[in-house]
Amino acid sequence: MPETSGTLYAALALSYAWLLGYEFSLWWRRRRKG
Amino acid sequence: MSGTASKALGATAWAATGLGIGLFLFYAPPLINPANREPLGEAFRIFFFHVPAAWVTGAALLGSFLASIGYLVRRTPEWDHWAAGFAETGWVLATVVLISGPLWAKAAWGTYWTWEPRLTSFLVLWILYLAYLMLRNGIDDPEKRARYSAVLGIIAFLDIPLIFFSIKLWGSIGHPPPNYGFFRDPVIRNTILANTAAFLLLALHFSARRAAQERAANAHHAVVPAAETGGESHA
Repeated sequence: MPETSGTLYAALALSYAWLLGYEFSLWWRRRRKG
Repeated sequence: MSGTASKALGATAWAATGLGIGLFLFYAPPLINPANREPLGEAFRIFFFHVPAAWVTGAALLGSFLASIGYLVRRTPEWDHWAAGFAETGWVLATVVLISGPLWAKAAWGTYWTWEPRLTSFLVLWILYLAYLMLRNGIDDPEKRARYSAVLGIIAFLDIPLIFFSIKLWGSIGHPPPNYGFFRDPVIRNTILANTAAFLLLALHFSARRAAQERAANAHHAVVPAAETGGESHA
């Protein structure tokens, strides 16, 4: 099995950045609507 | 939900998510294949959020399915707000599954994607709920939007049992069936349960926020007197 922690961190960063981005979009939509 | 309760739920959900990440990075031992005792490699820690994200996708979309039925039975907007909130949340979590899955597959099988039953039926799910969100975006009349989305929300959910039984129906070509051998190790079991709880809290937080936004948008629409819209009746 090759060293695959790079894959783990890539999946971790992309997945949780996506969730944080969605959280930000919710906050932004609410802010825009006042 | 009041503003304070909503903020508290969001903070709790993100704290649980951070804790969950800490657990699978630093607390869970390296995974060993229960069948042959071979080490599975670091990329297999993706298991700890890929699998809970998939489970909670199902839970959120079940919420949307039930709320869609609720709307068609009761015809009150609140059911539609929750159907929309749960559906969007389910789609967001399904995206996490589709980001983490191919990266894991590359490490485990040497390829990002294969058109096998579970992967294909899951991609179909993602596309169906993308269509649901586009449909909602494309209809201005709240009653018509609610009715059409409820019908699609019910039809789209029928893909979930197909995903669940895909391995039994067509056999496992790529995606492995659930490996409950992992659950015999209490550390692994607790780590996956903690991450499932974190995703459930996050899903509840996202859905409640989204439902509140739908409610606010509908309240804005409702201040226009019916006479001004031409008194159109909706069957």
